[in-house]
Amino acid sequence: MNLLEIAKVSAGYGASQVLHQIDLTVAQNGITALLGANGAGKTTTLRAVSGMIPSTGSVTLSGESLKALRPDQIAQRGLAHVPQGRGTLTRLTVIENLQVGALRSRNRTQVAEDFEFCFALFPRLRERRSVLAGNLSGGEQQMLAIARALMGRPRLLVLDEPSLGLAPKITGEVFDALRGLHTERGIAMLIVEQNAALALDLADSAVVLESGRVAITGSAKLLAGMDEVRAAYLGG
Amino acid sequence: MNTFSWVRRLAVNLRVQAVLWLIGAVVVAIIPLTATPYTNSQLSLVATFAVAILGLNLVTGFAGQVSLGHSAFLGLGAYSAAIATAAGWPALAALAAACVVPAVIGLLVGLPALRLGGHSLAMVTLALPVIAVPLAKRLSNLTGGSTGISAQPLHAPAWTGLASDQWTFYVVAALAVMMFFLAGNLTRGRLGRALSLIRVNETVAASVGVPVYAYKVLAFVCAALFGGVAGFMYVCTIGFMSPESLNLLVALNLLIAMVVGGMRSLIGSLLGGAFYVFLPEVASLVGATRSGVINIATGASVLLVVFLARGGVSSIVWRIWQRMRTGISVRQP
Amino acid sequence: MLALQQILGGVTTGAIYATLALALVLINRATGVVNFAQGQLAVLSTYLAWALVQAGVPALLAVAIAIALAVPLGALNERFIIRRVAKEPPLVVTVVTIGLLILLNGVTGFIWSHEIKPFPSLFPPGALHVAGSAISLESLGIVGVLAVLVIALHLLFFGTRLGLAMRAVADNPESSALSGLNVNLLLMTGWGLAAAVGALAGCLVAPKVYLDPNMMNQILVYSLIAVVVGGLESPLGVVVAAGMIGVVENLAGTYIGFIGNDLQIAVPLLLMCAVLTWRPQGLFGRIESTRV
Repeated sequence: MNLLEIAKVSAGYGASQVLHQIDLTVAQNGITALLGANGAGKTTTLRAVSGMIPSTGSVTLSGESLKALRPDQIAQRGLAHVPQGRGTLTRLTVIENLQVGALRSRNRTQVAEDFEFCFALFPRLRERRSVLAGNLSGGEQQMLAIARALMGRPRLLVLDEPSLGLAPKITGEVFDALRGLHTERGIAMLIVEQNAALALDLADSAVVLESGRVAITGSAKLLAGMDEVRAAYLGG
Repeated sequence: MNTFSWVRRLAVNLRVQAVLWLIGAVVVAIIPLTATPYTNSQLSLVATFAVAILGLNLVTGFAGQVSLGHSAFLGLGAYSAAIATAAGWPALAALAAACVVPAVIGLLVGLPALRLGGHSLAMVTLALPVIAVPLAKRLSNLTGGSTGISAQPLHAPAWTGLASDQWTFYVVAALAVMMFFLAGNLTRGRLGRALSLIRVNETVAASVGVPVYAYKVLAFVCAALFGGVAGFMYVCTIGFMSPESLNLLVALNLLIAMVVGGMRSLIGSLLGGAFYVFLPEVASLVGATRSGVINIATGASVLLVVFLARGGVSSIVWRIWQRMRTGISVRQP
Repeated sequence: MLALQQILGGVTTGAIYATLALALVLINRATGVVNFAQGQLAVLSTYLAWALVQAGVPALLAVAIAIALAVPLGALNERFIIRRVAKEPPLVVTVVTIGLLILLNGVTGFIWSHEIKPFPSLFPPGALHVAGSAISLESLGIVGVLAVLVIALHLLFFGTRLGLAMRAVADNPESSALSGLNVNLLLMTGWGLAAAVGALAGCLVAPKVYLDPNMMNQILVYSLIAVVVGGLESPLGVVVAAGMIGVVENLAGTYIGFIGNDLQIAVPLLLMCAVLTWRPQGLFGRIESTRV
């Protein structure tokens, strides 16, 4: 069974419908990249999945339906959404941000381990752990956002444009960390990315959205090799 | 066949609308001649507070600038008119004083205050009645202190044969009509649209060239002026002014009456004035004289309006009118 | 010495303003609104305490129960009234809280009439004599309670999981939900807590000014001024500002002839206007950088 299954999902904002009957899956332990031009509906898809906006169709996590659940309830079922712009809790320190991610856990040892894990994954965060999160650089905030999501021990990590606004070097660090995370912890991921090359390199399967509909879907390698994808999203 | 269809056909006819206005005017002209002095003064008060609420509507309803101190301008106008009258000035001069003094204060307060937004502006305007009450009590040489000041600017000219309450009603009603006409002109044209844009999104307003700050100050000063005129009308009707008539609770009740009557609506301002004056009347009429009932009714009314009919009673009236005209439910634009 | 007496008196009234001001700050941090009805809710709770005392409950217990009852009242207020309009422009929320103020004023007047009622002090009678001035035990008690409250709130927000969760929600409710926090429940908790603090303020001031539906109106104005002067971001700043206001207005009222007792409120109002002109974020507040 797939970890995440989205079937015939439509969603929109008020009068305008953005998504039209889209299908998408993320395999257990898999990484799926969601690509497409601006306005294609990538962020809307993620918001529908994590319950931030209402949608029709079915969204299931390990077979369990996420219909009509609040975002916090969905998060509690193991889906961690790192929103576009990071959603950093700017007036809290780095440590406090991480603590918020682990708030539901009562297991102190596990939480301490998770802190260590995150600091090992992102050494910069350890250095800046008492700094107010709002004072971190963009890259550090992105790392913090991912780390905060990890503190909740999710089964599925949903990332919306992790490379947005980051310098290439930092982006590389972030994606290396994601790769490492996948290998070590087996966390599945759904990644929306403008930077298609990076995403296709990390992912094993990919979906391309166009105007709210699925245009192409298949393995990441396959898509990376396709001429249309190369032309439209990989700069030829 | 819809029960209202004959009314609908009648209403659609423009000539009939004109006749309705005429009938309304005649009714307004005739009522005071047959009604008791008390009724006349109540109706005069409705006109008074309708004008006050109209002013508040300009700055808070249309321009979105929260003013919690409107009663202060009403009070300034009332005191100016009363003091001028007591000093022997003729009625027109007293009216002029009632216009100028609040407008000037409104300008002096508005210029710094309107640089602030939202809650800060609310706080500063809230300060106005809070400081005005003790100030009015303190400057007793001028204002008569806590006991207040008696003054009646209007005297029915002998040739009309009218009693004072009737003459007052006509003058006050005429003033109200003028102020409503003025408000209509201010809000219907470019200024009205600009003010609404400022309310909805200041940044966008600025980017399309609206002089946001200047218009805010203008709206504030106009509101103060309307309040002042209302103050003059108040003194004409009651013949008396005291510090408690301009306190904070009055300002808050004016705001509530504006919302209940209908924000951004001229008819709403009139309805608001009626609400303000008649709610206590109705309460005593049904024998609900226990303390607190009026406040419960006021508070409940505004909460119901905000949750159920955001546009106030005037929006409900509008919806009914539209339904009658077209036979379909239409939402107020 | 008269001045010392005035200062001490000012500190005490300042402590009352500070307590209500803290309730206002709690609300503002939780939902970003200024709750004009805060004082009136406090009055309602104080009346509940009074009713318990009339029924024979000892004063301290009555107050404790009233404060505890204020929590669900505040929570229900958030859930059914405020939440509906929290995302609307400031004008709408302001109108709702003002409507609530007037409604609650009417309710308390309806149930208990406008007859002023004596309220028992929670502190023993008597006074300390220091440097020629008398400090009543009640005044000491009020300031002491405020100090304990400030410390308790600090411990709550910076030392407990609940406090951390509430701060997270205050910072970014959407993002907090994505981390699994039940934002609605936490908002209700914040409002419940604020209502409890307000109830405390009401019960502390009632013995001195006598209980009546309009008891908190003046105090609300002072507390709002304290919040503006101190800065919404800084609870400690608000407390200091409230103390300053209490002291300054007392001194001005006594020593500046023109001001006297009745125009005392002019001083904090002018202070507020000055702060709004030259340091709008409050004396102790931080400038909020707009998140892009």
